[in-house]
Amino acid sequence: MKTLDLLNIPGLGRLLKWRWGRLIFQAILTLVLLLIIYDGFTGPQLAPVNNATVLSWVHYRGIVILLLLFAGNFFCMACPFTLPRTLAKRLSLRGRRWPAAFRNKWIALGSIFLIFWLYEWLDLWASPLLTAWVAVAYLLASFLFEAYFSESAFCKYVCPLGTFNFVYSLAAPTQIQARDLEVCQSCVGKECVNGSEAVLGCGTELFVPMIDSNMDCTFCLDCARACPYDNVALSTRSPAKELIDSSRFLGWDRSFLILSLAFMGLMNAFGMVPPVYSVQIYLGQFLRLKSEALLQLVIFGVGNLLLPGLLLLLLSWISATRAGSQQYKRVARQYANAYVPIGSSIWLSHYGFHLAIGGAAIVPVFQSFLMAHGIALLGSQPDWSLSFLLPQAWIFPLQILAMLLGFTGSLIVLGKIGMKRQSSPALAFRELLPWALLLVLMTIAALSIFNLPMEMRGTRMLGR
Amino acid sequence: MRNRVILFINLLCASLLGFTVAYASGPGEGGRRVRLENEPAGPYLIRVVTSPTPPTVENFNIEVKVLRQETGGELLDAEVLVMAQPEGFSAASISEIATHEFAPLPTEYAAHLAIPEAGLWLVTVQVQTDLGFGEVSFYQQISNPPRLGALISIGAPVGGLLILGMVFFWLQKMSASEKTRSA
Repeated sequence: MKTLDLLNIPGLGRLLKWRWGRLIFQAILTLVLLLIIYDGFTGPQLAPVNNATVLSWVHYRGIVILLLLFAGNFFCMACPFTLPRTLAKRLSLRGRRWPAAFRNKWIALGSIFLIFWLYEWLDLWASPLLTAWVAVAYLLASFLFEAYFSESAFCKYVCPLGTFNFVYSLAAPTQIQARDLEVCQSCVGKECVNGSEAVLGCGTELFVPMIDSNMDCTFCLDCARACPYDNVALSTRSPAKELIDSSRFLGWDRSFLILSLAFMGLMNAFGMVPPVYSVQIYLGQFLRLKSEALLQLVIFGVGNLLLPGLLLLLLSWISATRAGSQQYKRVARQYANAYVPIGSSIWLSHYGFHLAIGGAAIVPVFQSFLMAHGIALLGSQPDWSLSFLLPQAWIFPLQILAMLLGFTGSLIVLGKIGMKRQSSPALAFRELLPWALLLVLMTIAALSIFNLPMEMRGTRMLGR
Repeated sequence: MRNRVILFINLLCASLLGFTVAYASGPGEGGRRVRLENEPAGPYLIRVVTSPTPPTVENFNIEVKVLRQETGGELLDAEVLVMAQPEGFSAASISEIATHEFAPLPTEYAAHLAIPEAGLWLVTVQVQTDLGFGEVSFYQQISNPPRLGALISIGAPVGGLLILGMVFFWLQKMSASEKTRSA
């Protein structure tokens, strides 16, 4: 497959590789972040009229999943939370290495679960103030982690947003690559990872000629800037390539993360449809629990962690046994990749829905914000008729189409992994069948959830 | 105990696989939309927010904030009535009293209007206090909830799996015949 190197495109390549190129994108998102924090703390505390809630929960989520699937991990490239991190580095506060026992994705999985649980429990989407606090906590955490640890420990091992982006960038159409591996072999300084006098090396300590995965790559392009031979490419690739071919040794943590994130997609959407109330009420009576926080912890703990964890172990065991093997971890590691397309389509259907129905609302929200500060730059009356980005009739069919495309993508990846692993198609099918059955069940569950009216926690549940 | 566990699992499965549409239990964020912002109505300024977006048959919530026009202060003791009338087709009009109890923000008023038919509806909000009477209206398109038949929601994934099985069956057949030929 012929690839395109984005860094060779006139203008774009130069901008991306320019020393301050990343800073331009970061500066733009920093302004957005400051707006979120300022309006969250000082603006109207009604979610649909506040920039904090609209930008965070409608725009960010929808745009990031679209970017990941159609371009790559460009959010991490422009991430404003890395600015305080860089500041910590510049202040030479960087210190010890991240503990070896935590050099995996378990903490990241815990932090992503934590943020989803807080989201459900505290109704973050409905509170501009809490949304602003989350942003502030994020800034502080990224600064402190970078100040205390080296190697971008926050991005690599903790950040829930980055972890989400890393997982779904596995199916992204772009990847950092060496243009010529022979140049890397003769390179002495390895500036891409070690850095040069002018430019820092890779923050997450990836060595360009060995990159075969987008996992942990923030697209910061420091490698491209540091390379004295101009030997780093940001190339297009087949989105399925890494899912099928990735040969890097990986433990249970990554397999679990991929499957768990797909389940989180289901549970996050499930948390917004009416049947969740029935489950919550029944569970409250059954467990005699009155605390909503604990009830949500049980529901989402089971759905997001326990269920995918048990299924991963069970499917690995069944799958390996059916193929006459005992390589459970290897089986899990390879087949878990097939849940990236279905997971991304669940998130796309959900977050894309919110972006499609409320994307244009940012115009009156921002107009209203300016007017509240005496600025009539965008008119003197907010146009509250703006809301939909797409015709209403298109949205549901597009959600279903996205789901079916994700399902098809997952089946294809599953089939190719099976064929790669086994010598005969019959044996491959025996091995992949349990994984395919789970895919079918997840797709049916997702389609059923999207068939329900999407809304959020009702007041009756809260006893108001 | 065992029955309870089975009941819970059944409930969970049924809620995931349910194809019947369940309706709103309150005003929320499933696409909350500002319809009127500080709209003058008699001695009041009124903000109206609807949810979900798009509103569907029997699933339409309305939140109302009432401000005193003179001072901009929020009025907490108003009687707020919300009505919906069909526009250009015949259906029964409906009305509900909006209350603080139903509102996510305790200083506002909210009501759930179980609009029975899809189409264009004229929604009117009436406010009454000692200060006098005020009324605002806006048009609201109500849609039928999207429905996905079992043919797609179950048939497509199961069909996909069957196709995968057939592809592997064919591959196996091809590989066997190739082996025979080479032998």
